[in-house]
Amino acid sequence: MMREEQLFKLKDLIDNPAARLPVCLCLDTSSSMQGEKINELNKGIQLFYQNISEDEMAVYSAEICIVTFDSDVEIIQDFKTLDENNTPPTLGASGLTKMGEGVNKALDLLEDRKERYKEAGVDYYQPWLVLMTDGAPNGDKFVFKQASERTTNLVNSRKLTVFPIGIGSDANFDALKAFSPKFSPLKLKGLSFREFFTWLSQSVSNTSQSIPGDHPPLDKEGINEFSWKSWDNLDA
Amino acid sequence: MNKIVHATFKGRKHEKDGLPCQDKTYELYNNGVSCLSLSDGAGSAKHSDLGADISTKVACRYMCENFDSIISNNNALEIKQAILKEINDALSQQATEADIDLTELAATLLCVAVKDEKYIIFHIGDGVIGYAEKDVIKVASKPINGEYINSTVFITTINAAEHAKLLRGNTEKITGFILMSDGTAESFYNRKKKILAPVLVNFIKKTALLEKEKIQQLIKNSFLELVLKKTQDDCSIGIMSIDVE
Repeated sequence: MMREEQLFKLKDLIDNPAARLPVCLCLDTSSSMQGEKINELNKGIQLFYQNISEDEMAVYSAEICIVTFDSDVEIIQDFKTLDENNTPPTLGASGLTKMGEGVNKALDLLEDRKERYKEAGVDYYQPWLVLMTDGAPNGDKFVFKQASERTTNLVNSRKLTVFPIGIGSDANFDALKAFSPKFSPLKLKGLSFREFFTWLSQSVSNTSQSIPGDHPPLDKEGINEFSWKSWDNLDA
Repeated sequence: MNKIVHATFKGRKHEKDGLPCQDKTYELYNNGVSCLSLSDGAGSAKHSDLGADISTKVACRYMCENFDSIISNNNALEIKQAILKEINDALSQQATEADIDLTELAATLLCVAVKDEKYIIFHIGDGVIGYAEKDVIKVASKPINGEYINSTVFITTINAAEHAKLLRGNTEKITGFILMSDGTAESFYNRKKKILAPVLVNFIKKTALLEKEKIQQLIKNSFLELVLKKTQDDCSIGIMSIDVE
């Protein structure tokens, strides 16, 4: 069959990089997370990686960063798509809960990543910060205040979406609330990390498939699978 | 007379979701003015295809009726506000009649009007406007976005005039203009270097040389085969070749 006459060829077209969705997981790995909690968290992260790797758009679009906080703050993984690295980390747990320090580091990494996008002419979606903790912060109080103010300012100026999740009965929800001016922190149902990360990967997938100007709604019903609460005004 | 061709194509996402194409294009010749407009409805706005349709038509009508006064008015902000008011009034009327919110008609707008040897360009939102000088394609107006890919500026955005671009000039060295939505720009606009693909010069040349139906068919073949495969988004394009007498 004769090929239709074309106005141009494939080689004439520009190859722009895919728009990126930067997602930072800022996770409590203090000693109270030892045992079943950290095991289930690790399984949840593995599932998250698996789901996104299997999504043909999200695998090139979602850039995942993992920061843990205990007595120290560690960058487990700087922003990478799962096309570049699809091996989930295995986290351990010990030490204190330097939450403010962890969030500050996460915000620093997010800001740096956005600058790199701008320099490279890469379009990007509004970044996401997932903050999970099972306790109360016991790092530097000034640093905590600084981190919560930075986060609040970013959220209020629509430059960041925060997903604050409390794990277990000892989680300090007032502390989590300090990072989330728009809606209340969620309480994880038991250790339903896998349900949460399934929801998160689906949300990432929906956003990766959206077209510019689109605001795909997050699945509010799906939150009930992993949380005792809900976000009535959830808007990313 | 300046020659105009334009086309819109539904993207894969809207095909999959059973939604209409939200890109619209329009041409108008009136009062000695050749006018071409293109509008991309907001993805999340339920009736933005209608908003885009209204915006393209009202923009062209306004340009044709007010070309001379726009050229002679030195107050750019005043002009932008007047254009946006005209379009927003039409959108508001539609919103009232349909009992919907104005924001559900949100859309971008790209428009070029030419009379004698003068041109006016108006642009709000994403998408790109290019122009050719002999064999070189250049950017007249870059995408006007918020920081994030899902934060485009629209006609209905509050204080939209502050984000709109108005350009006026002489067509003496210009051989043509190209308007494209962001879906099309994915294939023809280098976001890093902020330049257009050189092949676009041929679009203008062929528009000048070929019968309208022929160039429309070429655009259709090429977009269906190549451009639509590089994006999930709707794609639209408008080309005006300047008649050199």
